[in-house]
Amino acid sequence: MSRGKSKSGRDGADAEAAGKLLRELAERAERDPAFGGQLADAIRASGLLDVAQPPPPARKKASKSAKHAPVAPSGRLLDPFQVLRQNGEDVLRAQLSQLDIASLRQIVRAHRLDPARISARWTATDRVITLIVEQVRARANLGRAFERI
Amino acid sequence: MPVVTSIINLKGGVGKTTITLALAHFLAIEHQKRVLVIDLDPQTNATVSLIPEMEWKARDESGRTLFQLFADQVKGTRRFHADDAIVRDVSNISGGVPGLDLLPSSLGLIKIQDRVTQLTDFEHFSRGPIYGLRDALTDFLPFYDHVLLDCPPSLGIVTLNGLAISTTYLIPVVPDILSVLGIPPILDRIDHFASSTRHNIRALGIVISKIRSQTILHNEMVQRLRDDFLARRFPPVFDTMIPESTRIAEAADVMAPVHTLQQKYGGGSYEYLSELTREYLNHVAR
Repeated sequence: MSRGKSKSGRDGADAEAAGKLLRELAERAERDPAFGGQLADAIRASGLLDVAQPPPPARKKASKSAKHAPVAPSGRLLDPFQVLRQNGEDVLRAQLSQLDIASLRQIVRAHRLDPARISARWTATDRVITLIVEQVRARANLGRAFERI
Repeated sequence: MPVVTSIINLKGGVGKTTITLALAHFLAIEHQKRVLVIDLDPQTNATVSLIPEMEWKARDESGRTLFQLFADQVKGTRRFHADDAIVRDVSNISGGVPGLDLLPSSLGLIKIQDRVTQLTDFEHFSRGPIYGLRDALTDFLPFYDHVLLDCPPSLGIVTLNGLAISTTYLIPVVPDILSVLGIPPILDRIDHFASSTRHNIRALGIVISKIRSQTILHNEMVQRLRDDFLARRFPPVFDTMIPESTRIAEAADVMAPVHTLQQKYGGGSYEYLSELTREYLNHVAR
C-alpha cells in the first residue's frame, strides 16, 4: 500500500488549494480596491498574463536609428532594468522616448516605480521618462554605498 | 524635555524600523511635533530610509554618524559633534519634512561595538561608555518633543546607550511564536538596567505588526498577549495592529517621489499608522 497520496491525488489537492487561494484573493480584491490594484500589478509584473496578450502589432522595417527597439520581439514590455544594465542610461532614455504615454505608464506600474501613482495624471512623456530613468537608476545602484566597508 | 522612546525587540524582522519611521513621520506631519530619529541599528535601515545612501556614506566617511561617537569612546578622542551629525528635515516627502531630524547610524558600529563592550561593566553599569549618547546629546534633546530610537535586535552596548536616555519603550511584535517568546527577556533585561542605573523607563506597550488577520496562529497569539497583559505579565497591547502590507514595505524607498503621508503609505496603511500614532500619544500622556 502506498504511504502517500498518488501523484494525481497530489495534483488534485494542489489544484484545489490553488483554486481556494485564488477565490480568496479575488474576494479580498473586490472588498479592498487598494489590495486589488496591488494584486493586478503583481500579476502583470510576474509575466503570467503574457500568454493571454494579443500578438504585437506588425513592426515597421527596422531602421538604423531603431536598432534598440522599445518592445521586445515577444511583445513583452520593455524591461528598463535590463536595458540600463546592458546598454546604459542614454539608450534607455532613447528607447523610452519611442513609447507612448500608455506604454510608459505600463512600465511604471509593472515595476512599481511609482507606488503612490503620482505620475498617473502626468501627460508629458518626458516627465514619465525622467521618473522611470531616475527610479531605475536608483534601484540599480541600491546598496552601492555599503560596498567595501 | 522630550519623550524619548526606544523601539526595541531582541527578535529581528518584527517591524522596529517600520514603526519608528511611521511614528516619526506622523508625529512630525500630522501632529506638528519636533522629532529626532536616532538610528542605533548598524544595519542603518532607518537611516537610508530617511536620507539617500550616498549622503549617508559621505557623512559616515567624515565622522558625522554614530560610529564616530563610539570610536571616540574607544580611542579617547572627541571628534563627534551632534550638531554636525544630526541631519535636519529628512524624508522623501516633498523633499524633506520640517521638524523631522535624524542621527544616522553606521555599518561601522558592527566592527567597533565589541571593543566598546570590553570597556563596559554590564552588571552594575557603573563604568564604561553607557552614557556616551546621553552626554553627546545633552544640549540637543531639549529641542525636540519626541525622540525615537530604532534599536538593534540585541541588548548590547549600543542599545544600552539608547536605554540610558529613554523615558519609555515600545515593543513591536509579529504575533508568532518566536516573537512572543522574546518578550520576557526584554522586560527582564530593561528592568535590570533601569534598577541598576536608577533610571525609570516605562513600558508603553506592545505593538502588533505584520499581522495577517486571517491566520489562526496570529489571532491566537494576539489573544495570548492580551491575556498576559490582564495577568500583569506583559505591558498593554496597543489596540491598533499594523497589517502586513506591500505599501508599508515600499515606503522605505527614500527615492520614491511622494508629497503626502497618504502617498507614502497608501490609503489603507495610512489609516492604521495614523491611528497608531494617536494611540502612541495617548499612552505617552498617561
